[in-house]
Amino acid sequence: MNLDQVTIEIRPRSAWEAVDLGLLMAKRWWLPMMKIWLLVSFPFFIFTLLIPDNWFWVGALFIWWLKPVLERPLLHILSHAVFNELPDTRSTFKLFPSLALKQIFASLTWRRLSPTRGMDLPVVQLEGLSGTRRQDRLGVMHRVDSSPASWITFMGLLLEIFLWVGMISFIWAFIPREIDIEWANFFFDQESSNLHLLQLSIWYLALSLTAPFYVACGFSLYLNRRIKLEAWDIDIAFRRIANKRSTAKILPSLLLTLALGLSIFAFDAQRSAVADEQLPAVEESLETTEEYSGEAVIDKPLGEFTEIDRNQAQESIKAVLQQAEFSRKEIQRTLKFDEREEDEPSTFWKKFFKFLANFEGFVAAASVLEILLWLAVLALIGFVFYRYRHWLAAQFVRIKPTPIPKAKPVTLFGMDVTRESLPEDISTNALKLLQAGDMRAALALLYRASLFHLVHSGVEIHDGHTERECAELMREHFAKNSAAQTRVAYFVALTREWQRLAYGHLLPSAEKAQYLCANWNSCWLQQSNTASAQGAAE
Amino acid sequence: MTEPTSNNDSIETNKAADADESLQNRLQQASTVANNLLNEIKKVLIGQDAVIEQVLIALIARGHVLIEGVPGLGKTLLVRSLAKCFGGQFSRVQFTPDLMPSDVTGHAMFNMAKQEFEIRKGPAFTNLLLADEINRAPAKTQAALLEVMQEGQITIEGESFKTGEPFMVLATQNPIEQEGTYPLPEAELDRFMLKVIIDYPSESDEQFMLRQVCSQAQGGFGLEHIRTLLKPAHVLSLQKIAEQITVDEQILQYVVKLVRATRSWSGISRGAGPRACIALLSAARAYALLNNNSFVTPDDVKKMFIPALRHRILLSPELAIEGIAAERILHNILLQVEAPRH
Repeated sequence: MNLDQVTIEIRPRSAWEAVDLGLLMAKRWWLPMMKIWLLVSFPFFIFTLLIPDNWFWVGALFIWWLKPVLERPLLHILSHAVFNELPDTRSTFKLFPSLALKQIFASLTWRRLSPTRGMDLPVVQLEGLSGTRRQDRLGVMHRVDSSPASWITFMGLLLEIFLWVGMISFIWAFIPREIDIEWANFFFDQESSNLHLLQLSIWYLALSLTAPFYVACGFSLYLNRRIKLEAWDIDIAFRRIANKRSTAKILPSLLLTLALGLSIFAFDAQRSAVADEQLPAVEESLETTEEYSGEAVIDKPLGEFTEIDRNQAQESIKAVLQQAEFSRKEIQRTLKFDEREEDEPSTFWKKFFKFLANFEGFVAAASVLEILLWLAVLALIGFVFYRYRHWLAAQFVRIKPTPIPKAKPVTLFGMDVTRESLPEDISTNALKLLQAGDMRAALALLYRASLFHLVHSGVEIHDGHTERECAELMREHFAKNSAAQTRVAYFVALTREWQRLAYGHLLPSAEKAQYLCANWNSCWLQQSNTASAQGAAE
Repeated sequence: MTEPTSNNDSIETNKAADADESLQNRLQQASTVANNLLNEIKKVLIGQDAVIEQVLIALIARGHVLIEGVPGLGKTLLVRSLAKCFGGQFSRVQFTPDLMPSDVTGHAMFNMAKQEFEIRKGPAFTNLLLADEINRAPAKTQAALLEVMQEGQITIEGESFKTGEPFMVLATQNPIEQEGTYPLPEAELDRFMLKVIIDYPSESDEQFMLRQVCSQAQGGFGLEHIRTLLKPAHVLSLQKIAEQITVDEQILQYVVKLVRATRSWSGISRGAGPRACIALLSAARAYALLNNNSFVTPDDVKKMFIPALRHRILLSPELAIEGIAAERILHNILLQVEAPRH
């Protein structure tokens, strides 16, 4: 690592500004990065093309999954280019196997879906840390300014998908309108698509377009964090001062400055030293230390730089932290009301809560409560069943509803048709009425008695039925009963005469009336016995 | 116990019985004539006996008929054969969206030669007016029929002219096509005594009809074979005889009860008006005449209830949406309204 050769402006940046720097870096070294990316990833892409058509999504997933490995050469290029040592493609390609195999298993399994992947990669690749040391290092790195690391991962994925869809749409836009194809199905329908290879290629292209920017942004975030942690800007400032002060003795002053910087930042010296193994280090310049014999740059001479190991450093840190500068005692005095604890209720409540705190009946109370709750649930279920019993019965149980017993009508057409309203002997009574000259009353009696027998022989007569309809109903009812045919004929004749009398105001002839009155008993009473006997036999 | 003896006094005396007998004879004759008319039309219009009967009833009861049915069921043939049967005049107006009221009723025109206004009588001056597809004309033209249907006269330029006697409007409408049609206004609908639904004939009737048409020389409908059985004046006397048919007080009450039931029945948002009572009773009388009865029975009223009422009620929206026909509701009313009590 040679900060003199650094090609970017070293200064502490905000996190998003660092991302911006990453984009600039990607633009600056896009071509070499792209070259090595294509060189490295193309064989894998060719491999995915060999995956059968119906498994093409596996290919897309496969190449996407390998990204952390394929991005490593890009980081290699960037990390050197920043220090003005842009490696050529050939050497990078040669390095690829060793770069790729470093912690490859972890990178492709549980770390694959880590959102901060871009920022974490340099810790593994450039610093070569693993295990708990990597964890500690990441802890330090992520302490501040690391939120964009997740965001760039998320946005990178979105960008890949958008690019994929966008390029497909772009191609579609060039299909002439005259070619009427169901383009959406053409691309997206799993069953009918013949363009899997094209889709896969577009996906690979989208990944290729995104990868350099993603790596560069992650690296710049990492770099920014290190600049802040290790105060590279101050380091560079010192170098400048040294340069100014001793233009003739550049080297000694530079050395001093370096020694100064290293001793000041002893906290991180150990870790950065490990990182320096990977980065192009500045150790070479240390060889010239002995030659320095100039005057001191700063007033107080610094202690000699000594190699300290990790444990020593931790102990010294602890010792420093225990010094008075890092711990402070403050005594604050404020006024407060002197509250007298005489309140009865408060003592009562205190006692009550104390009692509750030691109360051992909670378990019993809880089980009682549980039992009550279950009872309530059962009661609720029972209530629901009871409430919707008719609906449930209708849904699940097919029970024939009990037939509603039909009450025999007691009045029809405004006439009483009960047994009590009728005299014992209908014919005799009707004849009496006829002889008295009341033909209408005689016919009404006959008709009423007929209706009574009709209702009681099972003919259903409603309010809306007219006299003729009653006769029709009777005819239908006794259609199969040959013994009742004389009765039917009698009733039809009676109905006709009754209608003529009631609606036409036409009196029947005396003989006809006589016949109807005299024959009622013989038609209805005698045959009704035989008819009912027949009905019972059936 | 309610012994119905109260009406006993109202039975006619011997003298009245003689007059009654002559009425009976006239009734007998009228019924025969009407049935002959019915049978004559049945010869031509096959398989639509109920429709012919109802149209005849409307003619005898001085009413008008709205015939609803799909095209090609013989609506025009029915009217033409009816007109030919009683030797009456017949005119047909095809209702179209641009038909003007004066196209139906007639108008006054200035005669340049005589230098005076002349009244040109429209097609409504006839005995039988067939208003074909009446719902194709807008309400304005439909309303031109209001006066002539109710009064039997037409007013042109302030002067009233009597139409032919007897006068009957037979309007047809197509139940299927709704586009470009104007539903008849209630006032117009109410003036039709009966709404007759003409349906497809039965299979055997259709075969018979086809056989008959094939045997015709020019593929006509055999209208020329229809005999003219009576004169328009005879139709008028038929109408008068029908008006003499006995109607008992109970029948009147029954008619009113039925019609009033439509006004309070759930499922009917607008019931029938008093004109429905008149129409129902007249139709029941004509039906009794046709069946050779000298009095109206509740059965006659029941028979005419649905044709006379089906176009006068408006079903509630719920029932209309469910597609329940007015006939079903009217049938329920018939079942539940008590028949006359004696």
